[in-house]
Amino acid sequence: MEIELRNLAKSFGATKVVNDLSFSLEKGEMIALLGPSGCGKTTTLRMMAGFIGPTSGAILVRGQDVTRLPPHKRDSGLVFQNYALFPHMTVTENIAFGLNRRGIPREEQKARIAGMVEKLKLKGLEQRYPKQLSGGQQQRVAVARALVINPAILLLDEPFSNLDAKLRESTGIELRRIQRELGLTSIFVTHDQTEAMAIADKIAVMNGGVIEQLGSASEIYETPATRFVAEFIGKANFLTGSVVDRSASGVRIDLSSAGALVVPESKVGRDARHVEVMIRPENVVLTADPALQSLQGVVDVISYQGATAHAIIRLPSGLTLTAECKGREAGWMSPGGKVFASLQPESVTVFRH
Amino acid sequence: MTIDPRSPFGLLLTAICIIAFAYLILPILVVVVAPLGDTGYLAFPPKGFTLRWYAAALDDTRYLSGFLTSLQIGGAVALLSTIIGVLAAYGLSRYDFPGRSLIEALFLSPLILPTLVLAVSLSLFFTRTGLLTGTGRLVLAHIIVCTPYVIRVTLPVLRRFDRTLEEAAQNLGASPIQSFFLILLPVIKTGIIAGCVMAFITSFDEVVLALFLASPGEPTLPVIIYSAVQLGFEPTVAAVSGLLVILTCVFMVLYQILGVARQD
Repeated sequence: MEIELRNLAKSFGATKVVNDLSFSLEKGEMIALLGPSGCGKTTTLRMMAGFIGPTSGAILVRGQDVTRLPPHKRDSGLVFQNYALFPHMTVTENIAFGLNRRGIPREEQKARIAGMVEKLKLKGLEQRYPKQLSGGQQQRVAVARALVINPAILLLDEPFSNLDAKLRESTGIELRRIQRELGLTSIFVTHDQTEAMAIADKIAVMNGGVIEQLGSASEIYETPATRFVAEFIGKANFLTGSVVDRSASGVRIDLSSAGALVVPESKVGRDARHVEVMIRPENVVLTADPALQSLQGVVDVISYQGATAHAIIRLPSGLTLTAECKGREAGWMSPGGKVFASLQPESVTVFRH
Repeated sequence: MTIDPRSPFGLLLTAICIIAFAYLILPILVVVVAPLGDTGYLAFPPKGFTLRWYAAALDDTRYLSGFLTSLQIGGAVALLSTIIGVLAAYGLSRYDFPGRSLIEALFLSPLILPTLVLAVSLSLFFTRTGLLTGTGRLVLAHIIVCTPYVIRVTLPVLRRFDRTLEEAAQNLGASPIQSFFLILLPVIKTGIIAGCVMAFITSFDEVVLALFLASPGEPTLPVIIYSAVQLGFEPTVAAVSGLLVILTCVFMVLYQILGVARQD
């Protein structure tokens, strides 16, 4: 195991910012710590870099306990959100900083810097100062500076948040390619689920200092462990109901005035009574005629977006349900029209309420 | 907002600017030009032309040695109060401790304390305790006056300093001390230089403390000029002042040239 966090916790005064956090990474894996601001993801990253000492727990890198090591004795490369390039140094001097601290001989430094300049497409910019670079270029220098020291872990703190949307995607893919190439074990902090899902091998969805769910992008999207995860990742509809019957064919959930639903037993906790049924908009199938397990409603709004169209359906209970369908298949609906929304039992997730 | 310079308001503004600059610059010009007059007394505008008084000023070893004494004291004061001031400002900007704002106020207080009060109390203190003799007394006194200037100038610069830069340095393997010297100091360099220059100038032309505390054998230049003026305002004294003005101008021009060259 390359990196291991054991029951890591940090309190500031009475506030528990990070609470009993554990995960481990194999060599070359990239994990995204994903969550809203204040969820403890940045604190976790800063503990990994050594800027914050944990209240309890341990951090192991390649089997060595580094929990109490000061930042400069740790072998981690950190890419800061604002890049934190040294303003009085050129691109080359910035990249060379870590090599100088490690006493790498001149000749080797030159070769390694040249390699990084090549890899991160910084040719021709070597003698520029940070303020003479664009945001994207600054970001690449920050990455080069962190990578050139061959760190055991690469830490990334919202590395794309200061880039514009277009650049963000290409930079993310590029970074992922380099990270794979070098086999770098990486931890990546973000509040942007798209970024996390596109780049990371594993995602830890954090909330209130704990990991709500740890899994691959498809796991957390398809089978969210908690209501928070379902809501934070992608779009979700929630319908409250109660279990009325359990039989071999499934569990029957009464959704009050919206109707009823039978779902496989494995989806419902053994003793759950009051539940919340979650379904993603793209799994809501809209038909003009009643279908199996369908809820009747009225089209409230249709918004056509080209490839897809979103329809907001008002149910008799007053609740609304968002459905997504292919753009060219939305023509038959009109606002105010009657519609049936069928929920496929295999695509719903049931949470205890 | 732009003002049309030909409008009545614009004309008035231009006139006020000219008058204000004339008020600031003309007296300095007088001091430079007046000693050029070929009379035994100071007159403005000068009558005739001679470099006699300037030559006399340069010849007079009293002025030269006073200049060197002031230079030495100013240099020592600038160096020491910059070190003390930067460290104090660093502490004030970094750490939140009980009484921090009180200490900040205390550090800045000599700026409002009349120099005369400080001069009297320090000369009493030094006479009573016998602590330090000679120029050391004046250096110490000037440090008290100059350090607040350094703190004043460097504190805002330090407060603006992006601390993630130091974190980045430490993440790359720099110890806290290395990151202080390799990152923090170079980044806030201009603030430090400004504080250092202010400290030097303050010490260099300070009269009151120097009158009370300078060692009698080695008076500073302001003290020598002051006593010379008391004896009679002869053109040589004006020439000395004129020389200082010229020297300052040379330094300003050099600084601009070097500064511009470095920015390119």
